[in-house]
Amino acid sequence: MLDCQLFFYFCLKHFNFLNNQPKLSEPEIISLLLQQDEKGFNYLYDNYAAAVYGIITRVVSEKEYADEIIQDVFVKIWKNIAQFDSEKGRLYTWMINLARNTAIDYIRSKGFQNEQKNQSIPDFVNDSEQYATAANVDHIGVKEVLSQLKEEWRELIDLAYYKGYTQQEIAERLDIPIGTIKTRTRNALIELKKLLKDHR
Amino acid sequence: MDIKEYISSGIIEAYVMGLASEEETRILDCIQSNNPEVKQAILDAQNTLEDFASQQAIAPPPALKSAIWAKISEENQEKNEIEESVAEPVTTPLYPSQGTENNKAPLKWFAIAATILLVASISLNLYFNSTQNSIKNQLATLTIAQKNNELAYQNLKSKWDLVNNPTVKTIPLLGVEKHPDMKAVVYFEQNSNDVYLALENLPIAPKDQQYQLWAIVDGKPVSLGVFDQDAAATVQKMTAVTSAQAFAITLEKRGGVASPTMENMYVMGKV
Repeated sequence: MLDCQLFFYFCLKHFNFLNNQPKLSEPEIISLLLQQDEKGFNYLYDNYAAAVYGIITRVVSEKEYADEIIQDVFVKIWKNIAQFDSEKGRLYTWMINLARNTAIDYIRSKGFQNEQKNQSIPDFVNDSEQYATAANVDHIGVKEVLSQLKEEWRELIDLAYYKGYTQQEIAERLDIPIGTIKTRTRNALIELKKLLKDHR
Repeated sequence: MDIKEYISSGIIEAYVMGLASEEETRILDCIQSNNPEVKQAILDAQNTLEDFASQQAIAPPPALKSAIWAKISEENQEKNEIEESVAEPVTTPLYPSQGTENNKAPLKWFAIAATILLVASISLNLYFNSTQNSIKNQLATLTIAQKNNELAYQNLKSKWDLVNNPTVKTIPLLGVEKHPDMKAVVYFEQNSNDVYLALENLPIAPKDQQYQLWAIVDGKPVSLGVFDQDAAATVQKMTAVTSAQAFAITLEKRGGVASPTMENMYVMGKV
């Protein structure tokens, strides 16, 4: 009985220890990565992989592709960390853009588009639904922020941010003047900021 | 276009979402390094997208972490192998080609020893290399810090020398009605008539503009030159002047103008 308690106590302590991973500042993370220290990778992965995976999943809509792309993204981060320029923004932003661009390049690649053509439509729909649920399950108690945005803003964020269309392309696609697209993008982001603040 | 208008045009949002054209991006890169307001707007927008990414996070399958680390290790290995193959030729001549049955055994031990030495040497190399790199980085940071300290010291010292010189008169220039918090100081050497200027609290002038110092002599403004904000020195020698009744600073186009733009006057002080 005592052994059991000890074991329980040990587990509790150990678990706490894992949760209390010390928070590293960006320069500390970067210097670990530059020294090719595995600790740097572990920290980066434990703290940012979910965000990176979330973005990739929303761009490609399918798990098998997302699983492949996230590997590329982390290898790229590891290899290209020396090119990160802190003058232009934070590390997190840099990683987000790297993930987004890698995923968008992927869906634009020829191989991917051919595969999509051969795929029967119902499959694709099912997969995205499965993904929508997965996203919700991950945030029990937190409503999808995107679903609270006005339709025109949601559409814009999806096209611009997740599908990588240029403003010109969006303007043509939606048949709206480009100036409107610009102000609409701004308003969408301002509204998003408000919503995110409420969620915190 | 004024900066508020520029910020609210939607360009910042296009930039952070990766929608801006290459040219727009280049322009904004340049503006943000010179304009704190624009830089802040960009950081704010990036912050929103970071929060958005955190909020939209989905946990990846647990097996992926070790798979990715294996990939990274593999890449590192390949890199190291290239380094190793460079070191290889050194050991090759150690195998004599005329070996007979008898000396094969010692040769084997010799080869093993050589391999161990090689591995030890490579790992030591890698170790020293990484320590050296980190020392180099530290040194670079220290050198920069040292330079900044030196500069700050020189600037302070030149002010201190001026303030302590009994023939130097310190004339504070205070903000005019429109800019009540702003401040600059003129140091006037009464024997040589030399004029030194230090900007205490004036915003950084836009790229195409500079602060110009004026002396009021017999009620008329006389230019004493522009203050070079790009230079490291915070106390700068201006044109000498005799019998000034007052000093004032206006914001003018780069290089200065012949007569002051009165509505751009920031600070002024009587002798």
